[in-house]
Amino acid sequence: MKEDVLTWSLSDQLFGVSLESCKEVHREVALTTVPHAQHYLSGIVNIRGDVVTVINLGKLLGYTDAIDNKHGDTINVIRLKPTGTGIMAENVEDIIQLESENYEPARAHLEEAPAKYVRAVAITDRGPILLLRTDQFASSGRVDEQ
Amino acid sequence: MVDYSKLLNNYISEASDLLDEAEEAVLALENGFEASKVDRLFRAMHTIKGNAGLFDLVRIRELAHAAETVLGYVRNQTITLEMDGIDLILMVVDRLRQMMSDTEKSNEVEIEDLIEKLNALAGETIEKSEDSENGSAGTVSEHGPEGEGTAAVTSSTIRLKISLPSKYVKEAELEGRVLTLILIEPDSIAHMPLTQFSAMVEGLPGQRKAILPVSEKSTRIVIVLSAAEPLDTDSLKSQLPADAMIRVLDKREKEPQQEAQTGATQPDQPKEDAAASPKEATAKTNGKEKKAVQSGSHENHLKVSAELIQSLINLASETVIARNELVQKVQESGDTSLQASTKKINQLVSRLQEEIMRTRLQELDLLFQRVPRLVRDTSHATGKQIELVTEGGDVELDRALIDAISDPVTHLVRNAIDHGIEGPEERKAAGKGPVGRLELSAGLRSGNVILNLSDDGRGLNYDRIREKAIEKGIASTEHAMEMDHKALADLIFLPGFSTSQEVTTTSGRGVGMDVVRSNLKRVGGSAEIVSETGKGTTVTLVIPQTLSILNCLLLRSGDARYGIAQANLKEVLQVTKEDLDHIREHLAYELRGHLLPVVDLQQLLWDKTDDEGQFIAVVATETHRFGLLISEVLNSEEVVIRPLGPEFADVRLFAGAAIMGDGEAVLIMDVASVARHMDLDPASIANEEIAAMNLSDNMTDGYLLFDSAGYRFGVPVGSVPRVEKISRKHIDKFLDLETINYRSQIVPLVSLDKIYDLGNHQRAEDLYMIVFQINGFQVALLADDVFNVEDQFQALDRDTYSGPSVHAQAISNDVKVLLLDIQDLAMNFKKDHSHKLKQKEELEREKEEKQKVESA
Repeated sequence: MKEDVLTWSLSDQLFGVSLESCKEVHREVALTTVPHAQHYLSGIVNIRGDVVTVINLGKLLGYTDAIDNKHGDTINVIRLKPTGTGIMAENVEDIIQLESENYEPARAHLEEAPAKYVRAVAITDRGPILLLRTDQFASSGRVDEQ
Repeated sequence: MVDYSKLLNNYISEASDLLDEAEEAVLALENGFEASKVDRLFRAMHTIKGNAGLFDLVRIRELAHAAETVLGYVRNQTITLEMDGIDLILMVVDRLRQMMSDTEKSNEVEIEDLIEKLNALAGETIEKSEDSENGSAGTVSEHGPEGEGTAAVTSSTIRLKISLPSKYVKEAELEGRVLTLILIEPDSIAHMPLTQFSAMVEGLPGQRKAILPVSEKSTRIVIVLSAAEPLDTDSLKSQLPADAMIRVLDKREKEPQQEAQTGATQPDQPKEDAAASPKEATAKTNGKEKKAVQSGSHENHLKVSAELIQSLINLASETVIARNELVQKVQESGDTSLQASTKKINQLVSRLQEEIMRTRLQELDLLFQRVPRLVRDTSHATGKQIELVTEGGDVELDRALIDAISDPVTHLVRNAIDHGIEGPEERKAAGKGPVGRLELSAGLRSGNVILNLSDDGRGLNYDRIREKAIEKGIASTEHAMEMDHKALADLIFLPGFSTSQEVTTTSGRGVGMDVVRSNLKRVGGSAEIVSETGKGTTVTLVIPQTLSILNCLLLRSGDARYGIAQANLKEVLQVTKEDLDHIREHLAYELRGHLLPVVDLQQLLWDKTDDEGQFIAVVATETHRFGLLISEVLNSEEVVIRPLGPEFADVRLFAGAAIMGDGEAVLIMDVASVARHMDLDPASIANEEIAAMNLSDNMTDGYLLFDSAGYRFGVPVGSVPRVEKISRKHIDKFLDLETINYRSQIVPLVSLDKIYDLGNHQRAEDLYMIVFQINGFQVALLADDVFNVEDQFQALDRDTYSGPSVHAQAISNDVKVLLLDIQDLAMNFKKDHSHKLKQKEELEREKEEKQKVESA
C-alpha cells in the first residue's frame, strides 16, 4: 500500500507523518515560551487566532543536540489531526510516497524510549525515515513520557 | 417548578445531537469495526430510548430499543455489522430523526418494517437475549436503591409485572402515601385524542401523578397516583376506560407486600443519568403543559454547530484586536474624516462582538434541572428534609460558563444540605420547622449573572472559624479576635480551610470552597458568603454573562510580554533597586507604611533576576495583595483569553493566552495562582485589609486623591479610575457640557467646581482627567493634579453631610479631603446631561456626514 508522507529533518534525521494525519504546516511563526512547562514543550504559537501547543520533538526523543527554544524564535510548525497539536520542524522537506511494504518495525532500529513515538521506520534511498505515531501527540492530555 | 415543554425541547435537541453523533459513528463503522464507535452508537440509542419513555414517545422508544438490542450484540461482538446492517442502522437514525421533528405525530409513524429487520439481524441471538435479560432482572436485586421496584397487578384473568421506578415506592413509603396503579390497555385509549386522555388523567384524584410504560417491551401504560389515603376504587373506575385495572400499593407501616419485589428492567441506567431528574419532573406534569409543548417552540431556533459559533467568536475577537490597532493608528494620523469612519467601525465591531457572544447564551435551567435530583440524593443520604425553591432558571448565561459553575454549584448545594441545614430534631429544638429550605435563585445585574444559594440552616460558627484560623496559623490570636464576621466568613474560601468537625460521605473533605472561588475567578467571576449564626447562610456567585473581552494591562518582563487583568491591578509604582527590602529570601517594598511582598516576575518565571526591573505592579486578589517586579509597563488592551492546551495542565501560573494585534501569543498571568505559587502569607495582607476596613466598609482599597479647583478630593480605587493627561485645548464645549474625544469616544467631563459651586477657577493649560466606567457609562473628572492612593486618614467623618455624592470627609496630610461616591456622582451627572450628550453626539454625526460629503 502506498502512503503519502510529509517529511522533515531534525538533527540529521528524517522524520515523517502520514499526510492524512497532518492538518497544516506553518512556516516562520513567532514562538511564545511557557515557563514551568514540561521540557519537551516548545511553547505556544498563534495560528490564525488559535493558541497552538508546540512540541519539541528533539527534547521528547531525548536527543542531546535538541534545540533549546527561546522566546520569540521563529519556527516551522506541523499541526496534527485531530487536536491540532503542533510539532516543531527545523526543516520541512518534501511530501514523498512510501510503500508500506518497505516499513520496518521501530524496535529493530531504535532504543525503547524513542521507539514509543515511532510507528515504523521506512528505508528509503535518502536514508531511514522515522514515521511518528501521531496518536501519541494528538491525544487530549499530556504526551506519555518516560 | 420545572417546565415540561422546556424539558421536551431539551430532549429533542439532545436527541438530535445524539442522532448526529450516531450517524457519524455508523459512517465510521463502514471502514471497519471500532469498539469506541459502537459504544457511542449504543449509548446514543440507549439515551434516546430511556428519555423517550418520559415523554410518552412510545414508538421512538420502541425503535431505539430494537436498535439498541442489535448494537448490544455488535458491541459484545456476537454479530458483526455488514454493509446492509449499516444501511439499516442509518435508516433507523433517519426514521428517528423524522419522528423527532414532529414528536406529537411520532406515535403514528410506521416503524414495524425497521423493527422486523432489526429483529432479523439480531436473529438467532434473540432467544439468548431474553434469557440474559431475565437473568439480569434477577441478579440486579442486589443493587438495592438503584434498582427499580416491581409490583404485580393482578386481575382475575391476567397477571402482569409492572416495573415502577423504585423512587415512587420509596417516596410513598417515606411520606406515608398510598400508591394507586391504574393499568390501561393501549387499545382502550387508542381512539382517544391525547388531549382527552390528559384531561382524563388530570381529573383523577391524588396529589401526584405519573404516566409510565408498564415495561420496556409493553405498550400498555400505567398511571401512578399518590395520595395520603387509599383512593376509592369504584369512583376511580367510573372515570376510566372499562378495561382499566386498578391496584393499590399501600406501604404504610406494613412490611413490603409479597408481590412487591425488587427487580430491574433498566439495570444499565447510570445513576447520574440526566434523565433521572426530568423523570421526577414529569411526574408533576399536567395535561395543559403537555399541550403547550405540542405547539412546540423549537422551530424558532436554528441549530448551529458549536464549532461555527466558536469560529465566529474567534473572528470577532480578532476583529476587535485589528480594530484596536486601527483606531490607534488613525488617532495618530490626525485625519478627522478618517477618524469619523473608524469611530463608526469601532462601535459596530463592539456591538457585533457582543451579539456574537450572545449566541452562546443558554438558560440556567440547564443547570437548575439537575439540582432537584442532587437535593434528593443528598437529603436522603443525610436524613434531612429539604424544600428546594429555584427561581430565575430563564436567566441566560454563556454555555461554557454554565459548565464552569456546574461543579461549584453542586458543591455548594451539597455543602448547604450537609453542613448548613440541620436535621429535623435539631431544627425543632432551634424553633424552626422540620423541613429545611434551600433557595437557588438567579438574576441579572449590569451584565453579570448573580446566583444566590441560601439556606435557613445553622449558619457559620464564627467562634469555630476563629479557633481554626488560629490553629492553622492563618491569623494570630490577637488578630483573629479583631476580625469581624465578614472577614471570618471569607476565610472559608482559603484552601484547606474546613470547619466541619466530621467528614461525611458527601462533602467536607477540606477541599471545596477554595475551589469554588478559584473556579469562579477563572471565568472572571467571584464568590462571597454571608451568614448569620443560627439563621442561615447565603453564598452569592457573580458570573459575567458572556466570556467577552478582558481588560488587560500588558507589561514586559525580560524579553517577553505578559498580561494581567486590569481588575487585579491596583496601581503601578516606579521603583529603584534600593527601594526594595530583602527579608530573608523575599522581596518587599514599603508602601504607605505597609510592607508589600514583591515577586520578581523574571525570578518566578525563568529563575533569573530581573536586572532592569524598575516597576512594581501592585495586584490584589480577595486574599492577597502583592507587587510584581517588572521591567516595563506597556499599554492596556482589550484581549480575548484563550485557554492553553491540555499539555500545560501542570502550569498553573497562567489564566491562558491572548493574541495581540501584532499576532504574538501573550501569556496572561493568573494573579491568584502566583500568590499561591509563591506561598504568600495571606495574613499579613489581611492585616492591611482589616485596617482599611475599620475605616469604612467600602474603601478596602483606599482612595485616589486629586486636586480640583483648589480643593482635594478622593475617589475609591475600587471604581478603577484611569488617569490621563490632557490638554485644555482638546476639550470641546457644547452648551454647558464639556466633552473630550477619548479613544474615539465622546466622554463627558465633570468639573467638580461646578457641581460643588467652588467659584470660578482658572484652568491650567495641561490638566488631568480621571476616567471611570460606571454601569457602562463613561465619564471623566477634571483634575489639576493627581496624587497617590491613600487608605489611611488622620480623621474621617462619615456622618456630617457635606454635599451631594460625598461619602465622607477626611483629613490626609493635614489637608481636608472630600471622598466622593463616584457611582452616585456619575449616575446623577448622566441623568442631568444625557439629553445634551445625545444632542452632542447627534451633532458630531452630522458633522461627520458633512465632512464625508465634502471629501467625496
